[in-house]
Amino acid sequence: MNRWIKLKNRGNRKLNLKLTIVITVAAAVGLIYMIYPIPLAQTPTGIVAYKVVGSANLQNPGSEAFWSKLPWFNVSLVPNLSTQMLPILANVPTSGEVPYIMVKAAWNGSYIFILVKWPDPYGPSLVGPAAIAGPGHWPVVYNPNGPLNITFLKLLANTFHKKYFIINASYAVIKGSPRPMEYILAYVAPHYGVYFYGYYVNLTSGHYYPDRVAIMWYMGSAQSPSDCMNIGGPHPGYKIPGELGQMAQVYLGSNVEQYTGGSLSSGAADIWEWISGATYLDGQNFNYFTNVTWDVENGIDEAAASSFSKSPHGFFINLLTNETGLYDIGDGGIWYPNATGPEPGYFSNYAGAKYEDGYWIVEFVRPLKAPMPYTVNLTPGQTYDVAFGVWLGKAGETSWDKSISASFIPLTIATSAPSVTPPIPTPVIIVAVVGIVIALVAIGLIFYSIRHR
Amino acid sequence: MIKVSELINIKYYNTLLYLFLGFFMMQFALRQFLQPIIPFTPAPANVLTSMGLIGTFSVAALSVIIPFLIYDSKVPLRILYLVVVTTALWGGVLLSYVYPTYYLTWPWVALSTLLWGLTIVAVILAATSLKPIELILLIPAILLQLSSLVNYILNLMTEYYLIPITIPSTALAYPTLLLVITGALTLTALALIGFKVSKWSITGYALTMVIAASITLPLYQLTVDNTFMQHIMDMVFAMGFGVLAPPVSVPLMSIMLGLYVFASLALIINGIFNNRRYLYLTALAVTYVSTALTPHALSIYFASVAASSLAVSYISRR
Repeated sequence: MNRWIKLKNRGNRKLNLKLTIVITVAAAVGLIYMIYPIPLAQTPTGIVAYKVVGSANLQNPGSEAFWSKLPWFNVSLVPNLSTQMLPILANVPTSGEVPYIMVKAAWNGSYIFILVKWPDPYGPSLVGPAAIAGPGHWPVVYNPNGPLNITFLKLLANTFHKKYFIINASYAVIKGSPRPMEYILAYVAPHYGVYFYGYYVNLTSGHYYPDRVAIMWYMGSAQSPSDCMNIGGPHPGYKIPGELGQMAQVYLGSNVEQYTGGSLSSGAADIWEWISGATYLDGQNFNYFTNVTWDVENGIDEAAASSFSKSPHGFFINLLTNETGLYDIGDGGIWYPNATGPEPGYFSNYAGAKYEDGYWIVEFVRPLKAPMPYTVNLTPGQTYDVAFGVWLGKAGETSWDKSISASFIPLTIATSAPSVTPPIPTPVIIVAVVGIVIALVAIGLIFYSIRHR
Repeated sequence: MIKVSELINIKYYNTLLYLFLGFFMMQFALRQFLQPIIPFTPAPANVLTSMGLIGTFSVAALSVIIPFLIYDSKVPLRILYLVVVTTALWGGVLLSYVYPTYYLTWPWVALSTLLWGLTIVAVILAATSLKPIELILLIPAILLQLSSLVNYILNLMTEYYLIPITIPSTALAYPTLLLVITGALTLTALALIGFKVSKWSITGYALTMVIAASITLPLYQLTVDNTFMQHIMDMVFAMGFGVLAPPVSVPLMSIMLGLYVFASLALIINGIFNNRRYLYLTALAVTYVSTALTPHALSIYFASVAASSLAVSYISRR
């Protein structure tokens, strides 16, 4: 018995020593981590922009030899006006017309290329010559549960000085941009039997919107920021006026809209936006930009405009979104208020596009170095957070009504070239995956049988 | 009669497991959950920042405990696990000073794939060593973990091995929510099955209920009739847990959160006063569920899942 106690004591001492070592090491390492910012070990994730040799062919995007070596990265898209993405009261039936966008990325030492492809069964929208942003953004409102509340609709339209017309007992169209009333449409109106349905489209009369695609580059410091932009008013702290304000107060506890529409919850982002009607060579409004007088009137750098007018090319615009709002970069505020004055780098963004077999294919090309203030500066070897947004103009998607990626996706600019992998046929992949699954199950069963032997 | 040395070893191994479980829960609450929320909170940031530092401490300590835990898990392939996990955890830290883009190089991609494979094998190893009733009740947690591992490899195949596989990851969003809800119920059932009447376990359960209720009830009261608070809390859920759900479901989500808190703590009570095995099952459930909704961008997520799986597999065969 004595021997047993002795053994036990000795064992306990050994145990205490072992544990003391482990705990001391763990505590020491933990403390070092608290004092010095030491990185944690990472695993590879996200989209990779490989280093390639070659240059862009804007006339035929996607045809460049280097693209054939890279596979598409599939990004699923979700409706941004859905209760899954935003705390709004009801889903918007016309939001989220595009289920996915496919992405490839590469760079050649001085330029980055991003190739995107998405299905558009409505055909290309080149939008009418009425205005640079297309025809009036007229929201359609409806009541899925019965007749439309005309009293509320009247109040809403009057408050924002808009006209409207009735389609039938449950549907009506407000003539005029809903930008100041987006917040009310999302958070208040459904309580009163008026829901946002989408944007008014009439394909015969030509009332539809441009097709658009946007890439958002996150420039803030939040760890897991949301890529979904805020719904709000024309400026932060906007007060909903009059009776409408009182009605909002009943449900929201306040008649103040905290955010500006299009602002970001945390940090800032550079948005690259391609617009079929305006920044695409075949777009019906492209000619505005080749007109130097128009450019200068709209706050675009004169030297940049005149050299652009001599050799026009497809391009994309840069927008800045931050916690205070959404802004144009490098022009006087064509779409949104301007963040800068005229910038010589305005046309240093290139874009090629084509519509083929029901798909839009758009290639974004930009120097790695930021061409304008507030635009993202790209450094090889770094990882960036990107998000995607797509609008089908003929389906009634425009401005705040679109399809977006559910979250930011890491994009790494790799310093290496793509490995030469022979393309693997799909059946081989399927067989391989099935094989791996069977193998894993077999391994599990073997362990199981070992245990029960 | 059981040998003294064996008894000592069991004691040592159990202590490692407690430390693992404790640090893991701390890293989840104070780092994984808290970090994305800090920029949005109106509360004094310095308090939260120091809480975040404790989270960082826990991650680092966890990276030390895990290799020791794996080394002492007498399971097949344990040396391979030890080498791969230690390299993935500490090799990455060293390499980040020598070659910061190490995680894009082919040896690291290969190592990550191996780590991924070993993690799946560990999950299967753990699943096959569970008792039938435990297996049934832990199936939602296991499926959650497996689906996130499958998502990870699809991404890796496309971007690093250049093999195009187009399966929309968001197609898994609603099945995942369903698994999260059933997981809360089955885990609670597991905790209740293991209950044994004794003065201490009744006290423990009562305390656990109070803690879970003190998290759930205010959240539930706050959001059940107040759309505005639903919206606010929905964003917190989205940022902290990686769960996107409609705001009207926030009261339901707060009940689920309460059930998870209750189940995890009650399982720990069972482990302390009734049967050590429950502590191992808690480690398994907590690591599986909490890493399933976050992208596996850090080696520690794989390593934690592998370590808790191997631990369960080891004590089941002991």
